[in-house]
Amino acid sequence: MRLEIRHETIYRYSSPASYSIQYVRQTPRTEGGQRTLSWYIDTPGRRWRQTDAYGNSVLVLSLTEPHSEIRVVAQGEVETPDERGMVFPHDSAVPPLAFALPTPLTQADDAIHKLAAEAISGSGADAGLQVSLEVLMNLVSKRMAYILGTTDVHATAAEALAQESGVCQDLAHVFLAACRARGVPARYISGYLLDDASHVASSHAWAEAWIATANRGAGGWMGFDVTQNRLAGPELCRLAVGRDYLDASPIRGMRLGGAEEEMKVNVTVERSHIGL
Amino acid sequence: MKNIFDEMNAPGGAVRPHYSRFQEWLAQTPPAHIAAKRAEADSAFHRYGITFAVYGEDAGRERLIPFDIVPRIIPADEWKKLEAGLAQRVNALNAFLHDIYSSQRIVKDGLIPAEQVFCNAQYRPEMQGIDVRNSIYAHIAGVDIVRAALPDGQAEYYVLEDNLRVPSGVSYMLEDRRMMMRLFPELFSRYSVAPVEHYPDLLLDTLRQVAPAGVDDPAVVVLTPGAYNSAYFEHAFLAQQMGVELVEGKDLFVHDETLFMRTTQGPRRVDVIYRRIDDDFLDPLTFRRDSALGVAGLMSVYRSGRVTLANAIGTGVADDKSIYPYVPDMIRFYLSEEPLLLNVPTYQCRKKDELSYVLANMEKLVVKETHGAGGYGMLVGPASTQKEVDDFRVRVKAAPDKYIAQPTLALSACPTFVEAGIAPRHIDLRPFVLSGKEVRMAPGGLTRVALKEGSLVVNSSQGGGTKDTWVLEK
Repeated sequence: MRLEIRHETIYRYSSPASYSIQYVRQTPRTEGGQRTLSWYIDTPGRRWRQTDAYGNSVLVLSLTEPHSEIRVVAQGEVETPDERGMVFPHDSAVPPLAFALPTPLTQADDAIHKLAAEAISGSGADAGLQVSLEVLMNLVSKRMAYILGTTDVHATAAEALAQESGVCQDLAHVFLAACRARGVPARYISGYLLDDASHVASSHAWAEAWIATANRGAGGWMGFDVTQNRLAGPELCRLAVGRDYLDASPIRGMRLGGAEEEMKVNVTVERSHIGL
Repeated sequence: MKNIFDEMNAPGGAVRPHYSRFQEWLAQTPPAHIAAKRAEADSAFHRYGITFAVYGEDAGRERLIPFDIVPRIIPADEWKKLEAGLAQRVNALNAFLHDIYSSQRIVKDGLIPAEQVFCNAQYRPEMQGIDVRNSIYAHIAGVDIVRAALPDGQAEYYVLEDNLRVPSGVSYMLEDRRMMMRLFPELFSRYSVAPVEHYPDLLLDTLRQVAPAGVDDPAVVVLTPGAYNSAYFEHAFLAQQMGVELVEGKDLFVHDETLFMRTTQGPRRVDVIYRRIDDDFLDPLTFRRDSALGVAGLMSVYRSGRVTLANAIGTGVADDKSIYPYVPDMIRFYLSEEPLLLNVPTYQCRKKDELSYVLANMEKLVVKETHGAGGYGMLVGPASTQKEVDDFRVRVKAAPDKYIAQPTLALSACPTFVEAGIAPRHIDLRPFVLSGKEVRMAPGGLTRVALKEGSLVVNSSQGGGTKDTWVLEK
């Protein structure tokens, strides 16, 4: 599916900031059949680009002149693979096993251990893992209501599960925490979602789990969109992967001065029609 | 206590040859003179402010690290062997770090189980794909060595642990020597002692050798967490000795793919950071986001190869106690050599049969947390009460992966001034091994001494003192 994406992020400061640095992870990934047809990121300041350990393309920008606003606009056209429930081969220098270790945001508490044990029996290396993970996805999405504003961006998986609500990021974190509690490598994906039915487009987050038996034993990553309670499909555009939100967030930065910060994000994702 | 090797006195009372001139001096010197000199040392150390903040029970208190005037003397041929063994070991550890952060050969070849490396909390995935200058990760290693008695009355050196993160203590090595030369200059005319004063020059030279490619006259800084850190004295001392800036995170910033230091003359580029801050606190945009000690964006400049961090990030995976048992295999694997220094036999509690041995024999063993450092989170079986042993057994049972155990070594002892006169006290040795274009070290290192009778814990945070360490030139 071809998607036309525009992603605008605006930070406004109540008094000028004297310095800012931002890590921008808003360049679509290129593996697993996803193709970038055009892509451009507009930013202020000095900028340099690098590929991080997870294979994400990161644009770093720094500003040393006083500024009351930072505006980042990423836009372009991406083609996503048509298949749902695709399995990707491993794609970065960080081995899959490293994603089996919980991070501070994805530590399992008793409730997560219980949830994980309900869905995944055994160690997670068995042939039935995919089915178990679908059960887990279903459990998480049934237990947790998708409600904006009930968690902040640094809520842990355990906190989100305890209040039985959160945003896509929280649902993904709970899924990751449960996988890791059973020793299954799982990673966080940030990207975009085109919701065809409601025509709502947004920044989105979901999870991928390592299916060791896939690809004739070579293993592979499979995407679980916990919020939508379905396997990842063509409506998703992958931007960045990491152990949790902090590794893969679309933008993360630090400033000096600036007093109050206001952040606005506008995302539009549309199906592009060839020939138009 | 059982069979203990005394560094100075051979069994039967004879003084070992390399201590004979010291013994003569001791016999000739009036006790009142020595007492006066010891008092002088104490007051001088207080004046310089060489103290150590204590963690744990006495948290918040600063304590003087006791200095003992009886030197630890190492004959030239013994040091030569130690030096070769240390260089070999640190070379292999650097090769291991380079391997796991690039092609991961040692894991693919099955020498070390993948989970041991990649599910280790000290493994830093962020280091994958970073091209580290000269493939050196642990530029400064503080390798802890002990000497233990063998049943035949001889003794053997063992490596207890490899400290590859931010090993401290080298300032005590330098100050102890300065103090000995000031208090007892006459002793140094009786012995030809290998100098250690050039350590700061070696350190600076090492740091300059690993500067980013293309930088001819690199700017080096020492990065400290600040005056409240227990080793702040050492940070300031080393910066001053090397003649480089001592900075905190707030003095540095990243702009235009470059690291800068704020100075009164405007921003100045920084090429090499001798950092005395743990990985977790280096860059709030990559590691702990609540860290106010680091530099936001530092990791991006590091990844671009435009700044060198000494030590590199992620070295903790090689000095972790769960990886320690594999170091002899690393030496064979990377260097095709046989290890020159011995490892202490180690039981890995994550292995079922070794765990049952440990649980059944805890009274005899030293049990350590794999990620612990500084003598915290460990049990010395023979020196513990039954309740302490039982409590520890519960902890190990609950999380066996987190523990290893070793036989209690009969650490060698060195005569030491105590309240009742001179008595043997257990010692260890921490040489500081520098790796740049080559491996170098100041002869000897820091000798720590457990001042409590019978105690085997020499850590300064646990009531240990220090001694000057003499490597003889002939």
